[in-house]
Order: sequence, then C-alpha cells, then structure tokens
Amino acid sequence: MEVIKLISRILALPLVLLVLIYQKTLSPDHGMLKPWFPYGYCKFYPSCSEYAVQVLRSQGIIGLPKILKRLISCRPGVAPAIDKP
Amino acid sequence: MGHIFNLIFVFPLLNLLVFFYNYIPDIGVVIILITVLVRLLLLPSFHKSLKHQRALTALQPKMHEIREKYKDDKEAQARATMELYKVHKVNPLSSCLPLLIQLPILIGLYQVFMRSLNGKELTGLYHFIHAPAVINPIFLHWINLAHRNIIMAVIAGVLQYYLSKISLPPTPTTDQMSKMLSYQTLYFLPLITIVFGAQFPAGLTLYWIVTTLFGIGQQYYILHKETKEALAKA
Repeated sequence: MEVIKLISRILALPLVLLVLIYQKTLSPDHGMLKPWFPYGYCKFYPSCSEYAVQVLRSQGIIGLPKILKRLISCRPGVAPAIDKP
Repeated sequence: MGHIFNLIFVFPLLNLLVFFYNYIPDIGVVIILITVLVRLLLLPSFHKSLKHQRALTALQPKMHEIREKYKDDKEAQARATMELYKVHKVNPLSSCLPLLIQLPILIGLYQVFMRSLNGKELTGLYHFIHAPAVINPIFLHWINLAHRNIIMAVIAGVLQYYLSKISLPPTPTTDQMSKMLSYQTLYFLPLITIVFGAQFPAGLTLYWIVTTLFGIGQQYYILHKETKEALAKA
C-alpha cells in the first residue's frame, strides 16, 4: 500500500509543477493578474489551484478525482465556502 | 484525444467560419465577426460580476478592518470575508470552471484561424456547409492574414497595455507589493502580446486586436456608467 502511495505521489510531481507555473503566471488569485482582482477570484478557500497542490502533494494522482470534483463545484450559482482537502 | 478535441471544439467553429465566409468572402471580416460573437456570449457573466464588484466599494472599510484583524490567519480572514458578503448579499467572487472551459475554446479558435489561413484543403466540414474552393487570406484587398505582421502585433500590444491600464482597479497606496506587481504586469503583458503576435499569422493578431478593442469598449461603458451614477448621487 505504501509503495502505491509513493508511486502516486511521484507521478504527481509534474502536475504539481504545472499548477505552480499556472499560479505564478495566469492565475487571477496568485499570479501576475492579481492586482486586477482585488477581491479574489476563486469562490473557495483555499483556491482551486492551492487545493490541487495540497491534494497532489499528500495523495498524489490518486487524488485527481477529488480535484476534478472541486473544479466542477467552482461554478456560478454555488455559494462561497471554506473547503479544505 | 486530438480527434475528440477537434470534434468538440475545432470543427463547430470551423464550420461557423466557413458558413460566414460563404456569404462574406473576406476572411478578415469573418474573423472579426466570430470574435465579436464569442465576446457577446461571454458578456452576461462579465456584467454580473462587475455589478457585485461595484457594490463592494461601499464595503471597503469593513474589508480593510477584516484584513487587519486577521492579518496572520488567512483562513479566518476568508471566513470573515465570506460572512460579510453573505450579510450584504454581494458576491464579487468568480469561479474557476468557466475560466477553464474558456481555455479549450480559445485553443480551438486559434486552430480554426490557423487552418483557414494555411491554404490547405479544409477537413471536418459538415455535409450541409458548402466548401469553398480556396480561402483567400487577403483582408480588405490589403493585408495578407496568412503572413506575419509586426505592425499589427505592435498595435495589439499597445491596445493590450491601454486595456490593462484602464481596467486596473485603484489600489491603496500603502500596498507597495501589489503596486509593484501591477506595474510589472502592465508592461509584461503587452510585450508578450507583441512577441507572440509577431510569430503567428496576422489572422490571429487580428483576433487579438478585436477582442482587446471589445474589452476597451466594455471598460469605457462601465467607467461612463460609474461617472453618471456618481453625478446622479451628487
């Protein structure tokens, strides 16, 4: 079981890198466009990208469905909330 | 995977483009038309979030209070802010899913403009869409949209700078970090626009110019409305 978890986390590393690059560039909550969104963009805390990084770091790619679920719930009509992984 | 992407995002847009081209045989005009159409589709969500943003100006002091009170606890800060929004029935926050959906549409649009301009035979047309023998890449008998065009890239960059400048919300002068960041972005974005714009066929640059102009128009509309409301209050 431990081995599977380790592999899952190693496989997730490139994905973590991608999300971090997104956060440094295009992200309206963390990146260069932040000054244009003074009240924040994502309706959840932590933001979807932050959530993704946390899940990928702790569970690896096994956590992908969880991330997908979070992204799908981040849509108009849903109330802002605190939603930690 | 690539085929599924084509099926969902590229082919519908390509057919729409050819459909318009059959009536208006100038690919530049068709690109402008499709760009405006896409922007119009995105208009309602834009205005809604804007309305909420404006309602928030009144809550500014309370927001500041919360930020000071929970300086070192981001979670408590987020909780208090959300409570404030709930009480005052505003929601300035957007959501990530619409942002993510826009990305493949944008890539699809780029693909369509590239395909229609590269001079090769078009694939993926629906049977009820008449296929043109060839798509002429000349815009207004003047600019070849299949070639690179540095002047158009520079125009796109300048417009990009202007749009970023007028849409930047005023920041409190105390926040040096955010000031620095906005200053950097203000110059970096147009630069990227010019560098990329100079690499791609001018059809894509034309798209960028039109979509930026649309954004500038939107921003002007908002600023005009705000002044009018301020005058009405005075």
